[in-house]
Amino acid sequence: MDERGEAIEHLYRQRYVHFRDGVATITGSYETARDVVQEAFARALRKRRTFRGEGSLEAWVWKIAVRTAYEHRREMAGPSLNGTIESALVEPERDPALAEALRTLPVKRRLIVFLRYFADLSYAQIAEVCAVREGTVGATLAQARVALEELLQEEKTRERR
Amino acid sequence: MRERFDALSGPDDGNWEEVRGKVRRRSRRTSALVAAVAVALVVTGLGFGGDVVGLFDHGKPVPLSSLSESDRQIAVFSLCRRIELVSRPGQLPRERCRDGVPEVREIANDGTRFYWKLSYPTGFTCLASGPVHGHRDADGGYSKIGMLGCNVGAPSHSVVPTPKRPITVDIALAVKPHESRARITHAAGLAGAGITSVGLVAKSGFVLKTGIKGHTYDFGHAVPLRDWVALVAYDDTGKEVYREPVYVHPPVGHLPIRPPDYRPPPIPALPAGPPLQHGETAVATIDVYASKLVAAHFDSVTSEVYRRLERGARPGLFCGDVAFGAGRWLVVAGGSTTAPLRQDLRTTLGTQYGGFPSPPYDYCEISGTYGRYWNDEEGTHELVEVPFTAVGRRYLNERATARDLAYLTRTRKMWPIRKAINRGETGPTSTELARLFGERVVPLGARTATPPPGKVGIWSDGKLIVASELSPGGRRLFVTVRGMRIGANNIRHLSFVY
Repeated sequence: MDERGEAIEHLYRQRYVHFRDGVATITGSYETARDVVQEAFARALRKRRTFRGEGSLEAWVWKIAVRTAYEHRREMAGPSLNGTIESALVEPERDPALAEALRTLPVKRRLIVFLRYFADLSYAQIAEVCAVREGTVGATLAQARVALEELLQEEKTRERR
Repeated sequence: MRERFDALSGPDDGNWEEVRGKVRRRSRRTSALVAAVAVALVVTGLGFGGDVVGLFDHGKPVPLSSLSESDRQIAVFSLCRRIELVSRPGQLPRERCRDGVPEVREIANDGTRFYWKLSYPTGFTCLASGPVHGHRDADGGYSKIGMLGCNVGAPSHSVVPTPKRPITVDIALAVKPHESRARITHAAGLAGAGITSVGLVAKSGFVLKTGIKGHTYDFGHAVPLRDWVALVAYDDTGKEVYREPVYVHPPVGHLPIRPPDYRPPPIPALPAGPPLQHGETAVATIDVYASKLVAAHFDSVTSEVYRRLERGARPGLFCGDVAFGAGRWLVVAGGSTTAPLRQDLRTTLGTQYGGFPSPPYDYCEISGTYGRYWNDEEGTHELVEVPFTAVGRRYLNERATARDLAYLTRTRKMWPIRKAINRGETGPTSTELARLFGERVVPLGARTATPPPGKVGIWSDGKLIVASELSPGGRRLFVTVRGMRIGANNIRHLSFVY
């Protein structure tokens, strides 16, 4: 394989779980996320000559993965009424409080949160994947963190009572 | 917060071989589809009496200068038999096709999809099509051409409608494992004068019709799964005037890639007469013939180089031309991989329709997949490199230096440092980095400082890391790393850095 192929393989071996967990928030299950990630990396391998190396390789593959995940969701269920596809925790029962808190976030903000915490992407990479400014990512994450912490705090308080 | 998310992570069930398998399966399926569609294209439709239909207006010219860089590359060089590189002092090197450039004409446009006819000086004709607004590649490049079909295998075949064949047919097929027949995922094409609708006919007699818009028809991507047997063109009275068979059986996904008695093709014979170019290394010779045949011979199959190539994957013989200008290399190379490795490797670098550079070449090499770790014993040169020209030698040397820097940026030691900087933490100093990587790396006092020959210089301010190295010719190569991103560098066109 050429150098780009090797780089993609290296990325896969290092970051597969992050990809799978991040994509699972879009597809709704780890099984389908695995299929999507496999397909996304296969697409990246096939299209590797179109990657010019001007941005991050990881963000480039993530863009492909997110697009593939959306395609998969559309194929399986059709788009939601407002034309967007929601992302959510795959197994909400493992942390119901966090799942509930996440559900209160707007859809786009939720995806950015998932890309940050599940996919472990930097602000710049998230900006590249979501086609927004880096500042927007920072502001969104800051707001989301505050909102989540408040909601989780309320949850704790309720539990103590 | 991060800990709560980390706790939700599932098990690692990744499998890289499965990804590679998907790529291979897709390639095989594409080959099968191409074969099936090619069969459909060469079958002449049944003739019908009546008015002459299918005459086609050959449209308006499209200047090559109006095409994006990506589209120009596809249009000009895909079928060029004589590609040459041009470099002028102070200017970026560029490719030129000595056969001449194609004439491009827009022959149809229904408002959403365009069709261009590309007529080449060599006599070939291609049909390019794509969405009128183009598409942006994942890397930010822009192109309009989505499909390119040419008559290189059948020069008498027209890529536009004719009275004999008043519609063209572009069909994409896909097979799912549980389905017994191919699914038509897209069916579209051009329609000549007098054609007012086109229908897909099923074995049961059911007809799915679509109208003509701007000399085109398009069934879209939602063609139902049926036993389609033909594509039919109708005139304005609804009369069938042309019929072309459609093959959705047998399932193309089950076609054998190679027959059971497959034998690799025999090694091509050497042409009479001396080679155009001859090069030698300590373990192998490479000869280039005017016919584009390149022949490599290993002196021994027990040498360390041979054993390393055998140990790796997919050894291949490659040759190319290079040009340098305005700080950038341009490389046009071709070749083929061969497995298993043999003492004599021979390959013809070219096809009947071009797209490959022609001899004499600036360099040839036998490469393989092995090593590729920073500072390992494999080095950064290919195991057999034969420069035929001074610029070829310089290219191979600078590529090796560039690889050294590229591999350094992705070492296991560098990766966590880059991740930490990416998270906003302060990275190590130049001295700490140099100590981490051993005696080949020396700390530099300034980011633009030149390292001593044979050493890798490293500079860091805790956020930005700059690695630099002198090539054997004395050119300073460098790469800037900003966390997980690669910043300014002059090695991008020599090695893949990420």
